[in-house]
Amino acid sequence: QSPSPSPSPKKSDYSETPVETGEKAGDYTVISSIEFGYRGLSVDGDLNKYQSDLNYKAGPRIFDSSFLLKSTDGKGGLFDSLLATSTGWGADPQGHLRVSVEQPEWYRFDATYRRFKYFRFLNTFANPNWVFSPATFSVPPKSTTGEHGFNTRVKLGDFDLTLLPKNRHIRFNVGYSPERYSGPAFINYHVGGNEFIMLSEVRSRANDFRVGADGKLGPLNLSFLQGFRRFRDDTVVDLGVTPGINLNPAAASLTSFDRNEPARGSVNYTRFSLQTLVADRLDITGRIIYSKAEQNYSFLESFTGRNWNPRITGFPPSPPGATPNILNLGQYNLTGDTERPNWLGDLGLTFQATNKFRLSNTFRIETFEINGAALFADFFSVTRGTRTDTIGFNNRNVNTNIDYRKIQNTIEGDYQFNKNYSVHLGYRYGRRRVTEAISGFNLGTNAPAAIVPESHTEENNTHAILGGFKARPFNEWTLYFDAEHGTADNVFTRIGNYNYTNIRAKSRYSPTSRVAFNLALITKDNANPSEIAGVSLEDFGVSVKSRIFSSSLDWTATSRFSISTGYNYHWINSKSIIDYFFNSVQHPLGNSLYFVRNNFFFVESVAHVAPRVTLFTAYRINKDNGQGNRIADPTGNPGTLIASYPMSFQSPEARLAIKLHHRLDWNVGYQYYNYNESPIVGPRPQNYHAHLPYTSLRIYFGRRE
Amino acid sequence: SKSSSQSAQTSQVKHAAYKAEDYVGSEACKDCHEDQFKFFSPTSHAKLTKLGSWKDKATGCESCHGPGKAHIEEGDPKKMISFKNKSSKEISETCLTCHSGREEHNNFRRGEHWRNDIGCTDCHSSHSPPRGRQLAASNVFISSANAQKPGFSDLRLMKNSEPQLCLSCHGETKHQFQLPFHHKVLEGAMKCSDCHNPHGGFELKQTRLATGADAACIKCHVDKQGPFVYEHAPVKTEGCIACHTPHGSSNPRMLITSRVAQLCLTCHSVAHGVGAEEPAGPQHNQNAQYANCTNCHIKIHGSRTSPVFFR
Repeated sequence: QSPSPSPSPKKSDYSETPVETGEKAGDYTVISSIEFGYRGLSVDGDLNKYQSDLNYKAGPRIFDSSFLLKSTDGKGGLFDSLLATSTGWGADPQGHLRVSVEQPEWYRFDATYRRFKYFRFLNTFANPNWVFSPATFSVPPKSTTGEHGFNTRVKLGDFDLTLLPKNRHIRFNVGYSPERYSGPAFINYHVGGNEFIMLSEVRSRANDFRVGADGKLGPLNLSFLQGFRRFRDDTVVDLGVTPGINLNPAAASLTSFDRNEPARGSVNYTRFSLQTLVADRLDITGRIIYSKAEQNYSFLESFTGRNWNPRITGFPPSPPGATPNILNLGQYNLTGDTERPNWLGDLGLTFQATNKFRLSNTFRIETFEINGAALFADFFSVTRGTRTDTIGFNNRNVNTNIDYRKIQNTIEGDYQFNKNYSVHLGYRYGRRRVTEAISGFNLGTNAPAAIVPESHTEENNTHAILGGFKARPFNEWTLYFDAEHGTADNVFTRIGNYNYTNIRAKSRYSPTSRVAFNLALITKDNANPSEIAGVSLEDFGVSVKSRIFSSSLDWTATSRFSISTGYNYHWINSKSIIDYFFNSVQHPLGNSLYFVRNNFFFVESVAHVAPRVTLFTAYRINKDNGQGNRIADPTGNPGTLIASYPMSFQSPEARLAIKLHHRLDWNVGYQYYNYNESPIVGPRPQNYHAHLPYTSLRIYFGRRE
Repeated sequence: SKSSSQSAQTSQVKHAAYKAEDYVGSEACKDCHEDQFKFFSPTSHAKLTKLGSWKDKATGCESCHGPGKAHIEEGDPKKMISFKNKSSKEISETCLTCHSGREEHNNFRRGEHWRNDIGCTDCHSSHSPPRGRQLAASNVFISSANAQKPGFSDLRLMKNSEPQLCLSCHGETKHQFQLPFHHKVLEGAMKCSDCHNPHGGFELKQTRLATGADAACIKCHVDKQGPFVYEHAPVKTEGCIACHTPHGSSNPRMLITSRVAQLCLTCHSVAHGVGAEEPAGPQHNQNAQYANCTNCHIKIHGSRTSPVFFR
């Protein structure tokens, strides 16, 4: 977490506040605005990348709107306040509508509805074939066909009703959150000795219902929530086939394909919280959550094709996988179900030993288990020459299990010398055990064979110290510092705990209410230890270092001109020892390097160039130099792979707002996006320039001046 | 005097020690503190006096500043509880007198903001309206840059709207939201508080939980929720941030590295027989199409049918 410079309230805060005007509407005051207009669009370069990044379209658009209705005397009828805000409806890829209605004595209703249009049509990103040795690739990459592309949309809602929201004794709440996801998407399927890009129709939906209550019972504050989520996925692949990525006539190909994989899931969850303050000094907060997620599914896949390479021993009669052949029918049929019971318990204690010294302890215990079971059947009929063979397997089952247990305890103290100086110091301990087990058959082949039941357990302990301070040497200048050093969980991501050191320092200097100058430095060092229990781990080490330097200046020079500007530098060096194959040669101690050298600069200004004219200008640029001149050496010994994403993304913008009337502004604006990436990212230049001029009207009711 | 020695954090709790006749009501404050009264009176704090369950409880200005009779009679500022020289923690204790006990605020005393001495009044103002800057709205910063229009800061007594309020301190995240792939926070479609609870919490980075005990990401990315027959264990045990940077990235999918293979191999390189299984043999050549692991292992978050996440 970042320490956060906090501008303290100043007297001038009041003088700078906009004057609350509003217009009378019966017993209410209205403050409202709506901006609508038209945006044009011109894109040069890679339209697909533009759509993947931004996806703004040309057309009429509601830029945003906000509507606030407040009762004037605090005693509205049906409601005391109503606020509705929205952005991005019309030609935007994302839009939201938020509504909050409240009659404090009786109810509050909060609703959020969001819609996102997802688009993706990119290079198969950073495919090293393109980076290192295109000539050795036997199958030319399809530079015009992005894999995993999609053009989908998701709609999300949250509707929450709280009854008696300001009641001191009890409050009730009910909620509903729907989610709908749909649209065409490409999937990849590696099967039969080739790789196929198929078009699927994504269709999933989830509904979450919840009911609960908060209340006070004597000195205890209690909270209860019961939720029910229902989920269904009806994604299908039945829209025909595409040639395999390997176009060699001897390679496997499909002549038909159909997949149905309906899945149904549920999550029932219960949350209970308790909080109390004992003798004005001891805060006790407890929470316990139990959830049980379940999912069941059936999977039916049928296909026909040619030159099928089943890659299974003994089928069809030896030699296996001989081609040419005709796949008359291939079929997989699976059913399965899974469940995940999950307990989560938290207990927080804060003891105010004195008015200046507090001691806190936070304890967590979490357990979950994921149990999966599937039943498998398949059938294949292959004709080679005049001979046809069939093979099928039934009742091949598998059982999987993940068992997770973790406890964590953090104890920390903070001392407040006075309002300007405070320190905190703490210690965190964690213990985690994760077990993975599998038994039954290996369902990863066409002829599932029994596997030896196996179980693998990882257990680790972590320790960390944390501390920091806040100092305000002068009223105008505040410093924040905090640091953590210790070990972190990493059971499945490497062979031992990470050693980590995280340092964050921030400075905020605000000599007047019109100027604020922020500086921040955040460093993170993560690395494997050099040994565990006497075993050297240097050959498999990981070292990830990141540095973020951030600076910004906010200056309201006069009542007619203000400017914000800042610079941010993000630096990452990551090195891992990895085991990889290149040209069929194994590099067991290869180097994997990743670099970020990102410079971000922004400047935004507002100038009231005339009594009725406001000009907003901005320029923002992210420029990542990535790996610089470093060159990968994948064939060397031990060999080095390098990843980075050198690119620049800049966007100047200008907007002129002309006040035609106290109820009406006319806006005209222009935004430009320029994206350029280094050729090492991929063979298909994904650069683009986008011009987005727009004009709009903003209508006000009860405008703030 | 008793009131002047009263620590801010116990002002509400100790009210029972005062006599009812010591309270004069907010109207009495209006004469001298007109601006504050003007901004305070339309707030939900002021309206508590009209709610039945708050009858006979200290409300209005005196609920935080203590009884005003002596202050009015003697004109002595020390006869009121003033927050001018209080630390952020002390000020917050006053707010927590009423606001703790709600799930949203229960952990404020152990949260990151508390730890760094950021208090309630650093983000909220109990008697002033939001003071967002008078900006002409940007094409990108659409929703909240312009103080001329109302926003949720009006209802939550916030000093500014999200994300401007959060970014005024957490500026180091600003560049991430302007990289090619990012969550749509600056565009207004998401808020910082959709994923984080600024008032503290038991979760790392003060993230919220989705259904039950699931990570915040699952709330929208429902298809990753599972449970699956074949889980990719780190998804649940390490969390989404093991592979993704949540705010924004120039890497597609907001992955923490630009090449999928190098991300995967960081774990899938067997060391001393411990750890995640490594790719076998030449079919995983880094100079073939297989180098992009998720070309074939497409169901990388978990699969119902394939132990190697092929389908």
